[in-house]
Amino acid sequence: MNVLELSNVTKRFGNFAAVDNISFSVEKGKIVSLLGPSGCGKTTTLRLISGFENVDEGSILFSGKDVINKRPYERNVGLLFQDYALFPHMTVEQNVAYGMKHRGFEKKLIPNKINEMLELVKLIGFEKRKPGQLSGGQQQRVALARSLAISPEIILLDEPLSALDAKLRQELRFELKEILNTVNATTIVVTHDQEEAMSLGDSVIVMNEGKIIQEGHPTDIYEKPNSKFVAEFVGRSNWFNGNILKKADDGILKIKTTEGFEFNILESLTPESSNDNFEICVRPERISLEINEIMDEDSYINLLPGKVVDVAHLGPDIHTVIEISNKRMIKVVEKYTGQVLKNNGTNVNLYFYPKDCIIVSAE
Amino acid sequence: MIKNRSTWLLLTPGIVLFLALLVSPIANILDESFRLFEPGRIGAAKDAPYTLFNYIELIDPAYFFYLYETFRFGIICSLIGLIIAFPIAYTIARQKSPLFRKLAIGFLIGMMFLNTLVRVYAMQLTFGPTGYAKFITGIFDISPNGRTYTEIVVMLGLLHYLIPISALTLIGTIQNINPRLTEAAQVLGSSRLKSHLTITVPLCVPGLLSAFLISFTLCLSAFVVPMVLGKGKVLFISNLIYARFSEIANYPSGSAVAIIMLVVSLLTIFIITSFVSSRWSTK
Amino acid sequence: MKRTVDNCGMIFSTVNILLALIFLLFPIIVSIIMSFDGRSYLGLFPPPEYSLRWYENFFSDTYYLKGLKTSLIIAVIATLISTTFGVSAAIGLDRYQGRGKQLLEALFLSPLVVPAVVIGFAILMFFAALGIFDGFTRLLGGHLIITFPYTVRTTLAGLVGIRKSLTEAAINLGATENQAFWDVTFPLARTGIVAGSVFAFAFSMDDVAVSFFLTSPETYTLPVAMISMMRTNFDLTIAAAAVVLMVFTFCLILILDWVIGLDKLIGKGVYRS
Repeated sequence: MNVLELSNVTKRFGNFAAVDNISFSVEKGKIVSLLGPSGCGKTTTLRLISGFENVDEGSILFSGKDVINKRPYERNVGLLFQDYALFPHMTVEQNVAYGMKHRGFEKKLIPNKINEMLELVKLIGFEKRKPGQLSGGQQQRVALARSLAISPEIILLDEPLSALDAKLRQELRFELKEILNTVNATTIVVTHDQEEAMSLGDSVIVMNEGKIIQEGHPTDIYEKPNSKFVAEFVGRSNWFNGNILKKADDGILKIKTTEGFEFNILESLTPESSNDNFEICVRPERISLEINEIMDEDSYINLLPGKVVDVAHLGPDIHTVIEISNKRMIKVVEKYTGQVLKNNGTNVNLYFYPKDCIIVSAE
Repeated sequence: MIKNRSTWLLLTPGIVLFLALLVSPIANILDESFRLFEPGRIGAAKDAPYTLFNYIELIDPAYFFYLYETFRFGIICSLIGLIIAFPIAYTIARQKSPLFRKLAIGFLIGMMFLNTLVRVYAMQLTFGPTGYAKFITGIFDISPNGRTYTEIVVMLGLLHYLIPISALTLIGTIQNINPRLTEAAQVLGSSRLKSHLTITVPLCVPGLLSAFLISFTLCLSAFVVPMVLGKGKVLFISNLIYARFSEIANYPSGSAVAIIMLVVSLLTIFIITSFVSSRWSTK
Repeated sequence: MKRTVDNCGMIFSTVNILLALIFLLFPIIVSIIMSFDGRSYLGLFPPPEYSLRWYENFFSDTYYLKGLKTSLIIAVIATLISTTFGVSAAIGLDRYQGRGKQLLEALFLSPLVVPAVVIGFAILMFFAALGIFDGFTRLLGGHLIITFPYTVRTTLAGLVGIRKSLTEAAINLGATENQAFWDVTFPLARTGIVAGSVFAFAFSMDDVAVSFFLTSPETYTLPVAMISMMRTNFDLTIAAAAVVLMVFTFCLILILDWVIGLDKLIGKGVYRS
């Protein structure tokens, strides 16, 4: 049985449907990421699951039992707020113990559990400190310990890493996943950050305007987005719009774009469509400015000539902007392995394979 | 930027005003309070000798009575006012609709601005002998002219002013408390009531003390309310001063009482304020 | 169960708020309605018939009208002087970084904590010692002192909120210190200044305790007039007077809202719900 199951859940504020007929489920021990821009309904979904908003339609089942009439303190949910919401007038110990005290845990078992939790988040020794004396990362760990202390059926994380700086985010991402897996927690992570969603989640649900757009493994979402929205949201893109010219053999289709370029794309990756018009996305990191060994497939490799307009060395990557026609800019990202950087104005060729063209129906 | 001359120029009018209208007058009555009073004269003679008599005279149970009465009413009414004002302040603080907030706060400010006399008169009309006095006292079986009812009416009169002021003070405090905190508490398992008792209220304590302090000082200096609604049975310190002044023209004694009243007020404020800042100094 | 506890709590809280509202409003409503009472004697609420007689009484009674006139004149003059001196003091305080700053601030705000009776009594005695027995001067002095803290406090609050970077930006663009003040600081502080004067006017009109000591038989404010009438002739003309004052209060609230917006007066706090 799934730990959490939402069926046809709708929530309206006035005439506006913040959450519009969504359904999904979470299996025990799994981490699901809810990804979407601000206002897409992900936070509302979180509040519906935790009980701070009431559903207008649909049902929410915790291990098979419908909880929509239960108040927050009657549900067994853990909730990690974006700003951690640690009780400023209580010590770390008291914060972690709060849930256990109010859910009627046996008094003598509490100190052990506190210890266990603090050990899990690597904060032994911080028992007597107050939240005001902790750093952002430490506060987050206390908040996590506090939520996990009551052994919730499901734990909800609201933008867990967004308040931290980039470096800390990378470190804590791994730790967070480790902690959640150690206790075999069933988790939902809500975020607008594509990196956070993809790195933490066993599966990703992309939301927009209250609806679920796509659900699947992070790799599937990245490689096979079902719409322009999803493609744009989970990664950088270069877009072309074109119509099918003709069908070649070996499952290759030839496309002519609005600017007049001709590409090869894979028929197997092309969705069904009533017309021949498609949007084609090529990720910047799949474009090369050089080609190495010629392989069989190379007879179908795509080539676009262009001129370098901007080169930025970002440390591990090089970001290049290339103009391929009048004012049409293409972004290319390459790994920096010590190569010589190109100058502005250099003429280059852009190479990319048909299999790296993501194709969605033109809306 | 310490621009000395122009800064001092700006501060001078205010300082002069205060010297003339507050500092000197208080210094004057301080002086007066140490002078000997001759009954029959208006006030003390210009060269009357200095004496502690006026103060010593006040160390008398009868005068402690006034102090006790004032304090008693002050503490009771301030506490009741706080308890009633807190839910009102909380409801307003957590409201999102700007129209509601505007109306609610406008209402409270209106109640605060309301002329004391209008308030007192309204209470008199409603709860006095021409009003519902007989009806209310009938329910509780007490005399409408008795002391108990008079005390209740005075308390109601004070509360009518204290509740809006406490509520306005508390709104600011509550707004600065993260609403996510009570939600966190509830998701961890405490009922809504418990979450407020363990989280909101402890975090509001500085604001609560502030509101209490303001209410208490207002009660201490209450004059019109006890005078009109007290009907001579309930007397505060300020009424004592007035009595000294108007009935027997014993200005030295009146001055002494005034000085004591001033000292008591300032001391109370000082004690409560330093208590708050020592206990709740920011980490 | 926790649920029942919460439901009880909600009921209790709602009842509390409703009762408080009724308590605050009922006496006011009684006064307003009674001011239109058609009976010629003071009977039990509610009145069986209505008339404007008490208002006619009020507006034809020179005793009351003189009080009203004096109240208004004192309030206007006190507010004007108070605002001028108060704004000046607030600006001075904002700039002054010396050692006595806290003390000066406490001094300027002290009339809020000194009992009104003490202020009234002290000023009365002091002026008498100086040989000033004129009611108008005494009243003005008393009202000046009690309104001053309001103008200082709100102006100071307004000034403190103005980031130094704004004046510095102006100076960087070429303004002198004074120009920067008039062009940048003053307009931004304007709402604080106006709010202060509205408060000052309101509390001057409202004052009873201080005025009680400082009036003379020739010069008295409306509230003081009302008190003497309450002792001698407790009739409903006082109700009419009360309603007139209520209208004043209401207008002041409207002005306050127009100038500064009532919800802004308390601010929004750091958190949005």
